[in-house]
Amino acid sequence: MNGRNKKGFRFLCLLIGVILCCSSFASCASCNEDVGENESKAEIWTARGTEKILRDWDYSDRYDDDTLEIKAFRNENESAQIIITPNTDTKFSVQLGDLKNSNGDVLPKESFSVYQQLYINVEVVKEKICSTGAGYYPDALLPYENAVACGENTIEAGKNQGIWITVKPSKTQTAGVYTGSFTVETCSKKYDVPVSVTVYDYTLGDETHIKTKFGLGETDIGVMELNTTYEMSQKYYEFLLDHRISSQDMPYGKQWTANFDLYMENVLKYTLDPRCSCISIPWTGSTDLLEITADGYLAIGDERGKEGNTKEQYNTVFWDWLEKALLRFAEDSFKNGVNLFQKAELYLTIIDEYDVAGLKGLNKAVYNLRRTEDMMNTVAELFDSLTWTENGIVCDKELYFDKQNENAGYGYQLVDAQSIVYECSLSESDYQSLIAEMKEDLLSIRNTTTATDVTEFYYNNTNAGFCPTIDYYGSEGNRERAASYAEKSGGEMWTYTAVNPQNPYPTYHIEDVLISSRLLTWMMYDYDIVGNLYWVSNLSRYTAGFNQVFDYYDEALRFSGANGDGFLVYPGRTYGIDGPIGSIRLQSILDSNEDYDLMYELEEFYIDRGISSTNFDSVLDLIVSGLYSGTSVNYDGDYLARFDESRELLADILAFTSNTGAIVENVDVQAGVAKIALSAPNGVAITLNGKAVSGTESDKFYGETQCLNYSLEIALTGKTNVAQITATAGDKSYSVAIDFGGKATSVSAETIKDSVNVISNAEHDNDVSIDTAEQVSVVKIQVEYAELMQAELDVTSLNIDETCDKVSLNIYNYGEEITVTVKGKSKNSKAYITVNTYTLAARGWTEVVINLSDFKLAQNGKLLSLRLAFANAEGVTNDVVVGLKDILIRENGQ
Amino acid sequence: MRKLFALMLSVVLMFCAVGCNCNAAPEETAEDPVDVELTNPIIRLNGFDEIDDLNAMQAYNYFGKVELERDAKYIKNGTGSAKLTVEKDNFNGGLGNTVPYVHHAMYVKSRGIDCTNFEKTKAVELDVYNPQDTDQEVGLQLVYSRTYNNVTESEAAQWFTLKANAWTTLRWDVIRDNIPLVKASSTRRESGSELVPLVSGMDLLFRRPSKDDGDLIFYIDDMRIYKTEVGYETVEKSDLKTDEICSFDQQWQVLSLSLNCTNNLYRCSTSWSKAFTTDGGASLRIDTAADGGIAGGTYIQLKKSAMFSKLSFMEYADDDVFCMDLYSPIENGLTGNVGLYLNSNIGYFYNASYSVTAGQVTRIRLKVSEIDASVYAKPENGHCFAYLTTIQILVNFTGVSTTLYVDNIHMERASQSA
Repeated sequence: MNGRNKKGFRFLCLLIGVILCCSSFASCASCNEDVGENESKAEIWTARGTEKILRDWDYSDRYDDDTLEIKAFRNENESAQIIITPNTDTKFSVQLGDLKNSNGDVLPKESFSVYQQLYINVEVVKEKICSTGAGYYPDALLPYENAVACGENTIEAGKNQGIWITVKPSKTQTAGVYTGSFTVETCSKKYDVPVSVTVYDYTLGDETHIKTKFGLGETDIGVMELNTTYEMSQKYYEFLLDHRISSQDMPYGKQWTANFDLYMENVLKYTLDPRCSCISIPWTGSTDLLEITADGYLAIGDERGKEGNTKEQYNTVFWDWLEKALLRFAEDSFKNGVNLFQKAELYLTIIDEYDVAGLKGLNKAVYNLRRTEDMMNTVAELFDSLTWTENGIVCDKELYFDKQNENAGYGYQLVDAQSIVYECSLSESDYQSLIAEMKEDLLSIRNTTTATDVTEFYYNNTNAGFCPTIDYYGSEGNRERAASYAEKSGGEMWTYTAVNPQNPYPTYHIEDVLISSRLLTWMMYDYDIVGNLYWVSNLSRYTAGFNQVFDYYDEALRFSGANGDGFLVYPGRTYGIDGPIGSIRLQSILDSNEDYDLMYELEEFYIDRGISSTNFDSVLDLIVSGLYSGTSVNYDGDYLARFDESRELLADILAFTSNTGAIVENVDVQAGVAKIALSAPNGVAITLNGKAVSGTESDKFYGETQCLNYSLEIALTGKTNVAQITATAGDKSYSVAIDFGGKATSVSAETIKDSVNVISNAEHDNDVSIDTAEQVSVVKIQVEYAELMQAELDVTSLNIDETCDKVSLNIYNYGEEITVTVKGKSKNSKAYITVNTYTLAARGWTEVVINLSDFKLAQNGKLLSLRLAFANAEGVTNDVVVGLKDILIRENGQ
Repeated sequence: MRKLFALMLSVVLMFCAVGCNCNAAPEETAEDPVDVELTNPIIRLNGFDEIDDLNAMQAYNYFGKVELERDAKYIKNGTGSAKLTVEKDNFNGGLGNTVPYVHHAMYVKSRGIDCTNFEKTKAVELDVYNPQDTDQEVGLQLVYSRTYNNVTESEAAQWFTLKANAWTTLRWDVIRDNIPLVKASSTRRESGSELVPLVSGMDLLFRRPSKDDGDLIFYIDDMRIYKTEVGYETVEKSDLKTDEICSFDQQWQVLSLSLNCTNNLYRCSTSWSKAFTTDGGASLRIDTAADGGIAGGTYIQLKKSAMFSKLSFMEYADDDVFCMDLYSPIENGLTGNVGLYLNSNIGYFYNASYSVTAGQVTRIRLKVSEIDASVYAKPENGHCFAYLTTIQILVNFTGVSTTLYVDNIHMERASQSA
């Protein structure tokens, strides 16, 4: 019986038990049952907040994990789980207690929230990779007090019941390790659960930096909660904000044209709310007849009016209303002295995934985007025409759309109009600052445009904000394409997940592992993807056939193709809660968004110090190392422990940086030597592995204090190689331990020259020889242009096995920019596994770092061959000429 | 003591209901009312006794709230009822006349009762309590299916008066002949490809109170299904006269009209009438309540797929004529405009507005060539009369109780006229 059905069942137990003495309700747990010969007992054990513990799964090998451990920043939510596995049906209760550190400081029990996990049945597994299969997965997080009030705090014999514990240390909590115990009581016994909470010495800010557009179905709220009131709509919106998620659907936003004042009240309110990062410019849909050429494209310019053209009806924006919305944003900005465009976003869902609808989709997207862009540009011109007066902002122009070139989407112009005065109490200079900000923000708005690839379409419609699914960003080539477009268009990179992609890419699917959703924002931050789109968070109906869901807590597959897709919350109504109930997936998203904001705040220190983003990335690479390849989560080895280590390093660097002013500016590993560049305020003492180091004068400042530069080096010759850097400011010391892994071995390419073979279908011979490139000896590989241009390196003799974690190839490219896709074959693998595609800069050096985790060497045996598949840019037919300097093999130190 | 006994009895009854399904052998109890005519008992579909029983419901169109009520004063049977709060208009009229409604499914998971198969269903009943001091109205509408996008296949609503401070029993007599046959597997609870008359549920429609009126409260309880062993025959909907599109001479033609659930036609009632006809048979009658004005964008839809699927509009020549008659009586008559939209799969390719004067018949006659000359029509794209899929009739009533008849929609061949 799942958790949800217990309740009605319990009610029947209560009444019929009196009347009928009905023995068929034995599973209605109470604490005076005769359990027969079995001793009634329970296993009380713990789990991380980054994993899902299934209800019916056998975890007996983990029963010794008795300590609840959580590590959190101040003002940050972090969680862990107590799991109760009884051998008889039982009730249970959980009591918290204050924790203390070695100085006697108290982490009060009020810092914790307790939830009972409810289990949802995954009947049909939809993930391609799912080791746990079908069954009952934990998802909804019912506040513990409501579980008790509803009599849900019962467990059936042999099942696992997860208790989700979240801690949020206050902003003033002293850093340190707090210990103590909580108590779990079952019918038979009380159990003490040791608890350890580490509070890091850094305070997460209140402001959400990650941009999100998570849909909230207004209809779905009414359907699920049986409550369509504004108050309920607002509770859902705010609930997401509490998880650092902004929704594109304002409370009652669907009816914005009916109550625009209400919408604008919320625009102002949430623009000022630090939890909110994105606010939707509202729009509504319409249809237009567009002229189409004989070959199916929009008739634009000279193509208009030609014989054979037709007219077709297309879904479009209701333009007058969009114009009203933009002007109202401006008017209310003046009135309130607040730039309401600062968080403004646009997401025209009518062109969502436009590229799956062929020409029709393309035409629709082109028209809507161009006309939107034209309107926004013209509104910006209108801003320029406004005049500040003591009585307000005078506007004597208005937008006019000339249908002459309507098909192209271009036609807006400013025309004279009756003068109106917008209310504004700002001084003239403040107004000038405001209008400049408004204009800049308005012109930076890009419509979030979901599609499968950056195509010519984007370059022709530069207000399209490219938004592919996260798997797109898996290859370096795609990331470069997206980044290049974002840079050219002045936009940002966004991503989304839905039914697709599936594991090992990050998902919000129920049977996927929990770390998957957690790592999404790590990848995003790493790859400069600033926004995360999710189509709807509270899908309460089936999207096909009869729409009604009858048990919101037990029907997982609402959108065919993925369990849990479209819903991250549950109706609180069922448990007497006036608002939504979250889920562990939503909790994971909160954790993930907080991680993003921590990384954002870390980079702010670097920006303030004038450190380049390239250098920051070298530090970030250390933090995220090993967590994922491209955008595939690495599941080899103890990946949860690896994540913990990454968080620990992030915490150390944040505490080190924020408390001392010392910054690890750059980390570079080359030829078996790790070089660390660091700067610190004069007066802060720096040591490397316990030895004091001295700095040189720098032109950087930390506040008023001049900084010193430090250049630290360690040779990676040990079995393990850790750089422990300590900064001491006054009587406080903060350390960062950078683990460079195991020994680095450099193999000169010359020694493996004879192991290099060219694979090509070119007509002429290709060549492998020794040469000198920029005064460095290399193995020169020449491949005549052909469809197939590959070089194979036999690396059998290099003993690259599971003790290694990276291989670096230093390659010189003699010609124009090309790409190389690296593949490898292990002893036991049947086929070559593709790792990644890298770009080799023209006439220069590139270090190609190959993460060996993709090869699963522990399973597949040592690496026998690396294959380098070269490719020119599209349309280019150059020969490939590259030089391989050396191969650097990095052991993992384990 | 009596109360305790009643409670015990209701619990026993409720317990019996768990595991019942609509195809199970009839169970008779002393308390069950009996369908005298057919001597078949009822199935108690929902007693609204537990919070989970409310999961059979959905609230739409800024309805308000549905809550479990435990006050015996508002319970007709069992231990609870559903309290419905119809929220006042918070949009200053911005919602137009959209009708707040709740949907109740014919499957109640919490009670293990699945009555979606209407093969043997004769009627649906429920009790509604109106605690207001004035009479109120509620509309019922049988919904065959509703999709995620609120595309609804349903029968037109019937409106009932709820006496002030009293329980009213509402009964919907089922005309099974008209219910579309669909695969039982559509419910997700059955498998196989057997075609059965499936009904998703029933909508309860309410008047939206004005801001000044304040919220309205209702209680519903004891939803029940009457069964019958009497057979039926699904209507053969292709049985039309030559060139008939929709004569409304057969009752299923009225029952097959489509209403978009987000529109406001719920304030209308549609019925099959022989009081007026231009072709000697019967007609569609549309009535609106005095305060049931209909704003633009509201349609009665006649879908080709459901009502005249075998008619090929490609056969008609440019001079052939599309015909439709409108009539509004002097008493309760309408003087105003009626809109006509003709649609292909792309959208509408023709629209026009026709004035109607009370007491007079308005005959609409449109040559195919005239229709195809519309600015919206693009014959080369399949966007013209030959590809007609839906006829929409927009009725612009305002403010008064009115009646309109629609009749005799057909094609007239020029060759025959000549």
